[in-house]
Amino acid sequence: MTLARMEFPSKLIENAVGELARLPGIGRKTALRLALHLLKAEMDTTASLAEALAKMRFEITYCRTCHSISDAEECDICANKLRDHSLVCVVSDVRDVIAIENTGQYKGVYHVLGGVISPIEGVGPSDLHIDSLVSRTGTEDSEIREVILAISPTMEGDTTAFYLSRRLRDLPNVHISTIARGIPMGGELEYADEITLGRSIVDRLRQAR
Amino acid sequence: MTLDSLQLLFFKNYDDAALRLSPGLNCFIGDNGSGKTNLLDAIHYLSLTKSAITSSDVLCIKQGADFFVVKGNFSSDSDAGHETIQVSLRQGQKKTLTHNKQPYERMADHIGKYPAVLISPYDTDLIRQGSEDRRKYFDSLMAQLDHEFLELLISYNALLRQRNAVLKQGGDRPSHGFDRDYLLALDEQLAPIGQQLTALREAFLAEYLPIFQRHYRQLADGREVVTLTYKSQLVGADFAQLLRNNERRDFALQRSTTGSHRDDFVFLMDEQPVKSHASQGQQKSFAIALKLAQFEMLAAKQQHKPLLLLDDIFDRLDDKRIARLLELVADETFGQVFLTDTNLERTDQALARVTIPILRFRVQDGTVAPV
Repeated sequence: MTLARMEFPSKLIENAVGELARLPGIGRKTALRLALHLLKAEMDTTASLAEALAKMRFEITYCRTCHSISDAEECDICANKLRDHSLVCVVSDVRDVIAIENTGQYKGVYHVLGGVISPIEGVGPSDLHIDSLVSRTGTEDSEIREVILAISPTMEGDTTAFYLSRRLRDLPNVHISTIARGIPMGGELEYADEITLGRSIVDRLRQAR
Repeated sequence: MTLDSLQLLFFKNYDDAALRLSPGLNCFIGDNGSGKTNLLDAIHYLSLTKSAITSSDVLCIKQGADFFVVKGNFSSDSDAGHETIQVSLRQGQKKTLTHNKQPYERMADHIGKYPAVLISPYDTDLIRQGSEDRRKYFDSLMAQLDHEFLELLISYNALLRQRNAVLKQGGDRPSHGFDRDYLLALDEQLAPIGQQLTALREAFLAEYLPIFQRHYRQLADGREVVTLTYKSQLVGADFAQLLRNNERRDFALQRSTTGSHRDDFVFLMDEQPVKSHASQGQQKSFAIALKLAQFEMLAAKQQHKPLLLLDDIFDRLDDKRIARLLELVADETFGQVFLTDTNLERTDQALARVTIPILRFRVQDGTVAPV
């Protein structure tokens, strides 16, 4: 018997399972396990879960400057005077902001595109937050001096980076850079794929004397 | 490299078949439609991850079944280790390819490791059909010889699909004022790759041509001079500039009208097109010479001989060309050979002077058994 045709003892459970199973990475089996877990737990657990989810969905906003997820009109990073506002790191989505923040190595600000250019899927430059990046970088009083393109090196990512370079290259006094590509830390050379290894030989770093 | 055994499950007209193979010559004998060529096609799958006959993998699943499996055990001459290659496809899912039970992440990583060359009566299609067939043939050969070429070709094709999608979207809404940087961002990536593909195709042909011409002379012993030329809009041109010059036309037609995907290899005999000026016999010699040159280049590159698949050669080729092929089999120019025929006696006669070990199989309605 397949689970899709599974008879549930309760219509209420069936509804809950149906809704949960619409989430990415969750099948009907997992959805049923989650539903039964909530049923066994205190009522408060479900109430606070539902409230947290609803609050997140209804109250969260996007930062007007960098389009990252924010609780206010301007996100904490953009509002932070201690960060270096001359440095903008361009990423495709919020997960990349979280990843780079977790490195603790970056003190500049961000710009979240909301995806990458993919002509085949119908995602063009106008569907992303590109115009706002150009205007934010290009205004007279802009303090931005460097734009770091930190976009995944997939084919769509590369196209996006090429496109951004074209749009930004005429701006005076703005330097454009991309994140380095190469061998991961703790990685064995012989297991690195040929393209990455070849690239890291070409883009080798000179040792400090 | 030797294919020691072959197993099929719901592949084409087979339910379930398993055979142990000879490192020398393997003959599949059976009536038309019994499934001889399907055995060669299964070996082709193990080598090139696809069929030599149909472009659709799903069509290779036996009617009524919902998956197929082709599995082969290889051993190499140098070390004692065995390697198992398995290709399988379930309806509605992605084709999977494993090496010693480890799945490949990309099919492209397998290409060229276990080379095979198929000589079939349909080879003359390369002469008669359009440029796409010839380009595909040489691309497939070059991909087996040079992994860098394969990677470039994959990137080129992906970028070209994106470019055509952009042209289509731009062409669909001309009034909106199309963002030209969008196209230029793709062309900036496409141009150097196209230029590299042209350089590699030119270099390949320079190496391939003399080998091909030698094989043709040996097969045909005529006075005619055969040659191949590479025709490309990119030779001696700046691809980036070509893309710019044709931008307006590309938008109007909503596809890319210049590039490596329009290249052709032109087949000539005494400076005339082979298609219109060569006799049937000359065309057959031409096609076989293409394949023998392919074999020689693969063998030289790999340090082990490709598997040779000879489909239906006794029926379709004349005695002289068969004799020449069998000479090459007999003097061990080839390694492991697989051939199909309808008539056991004729095969035995033709192979009377061949000294390498021979195994004969009887193929009947989707079953195969040693004779």
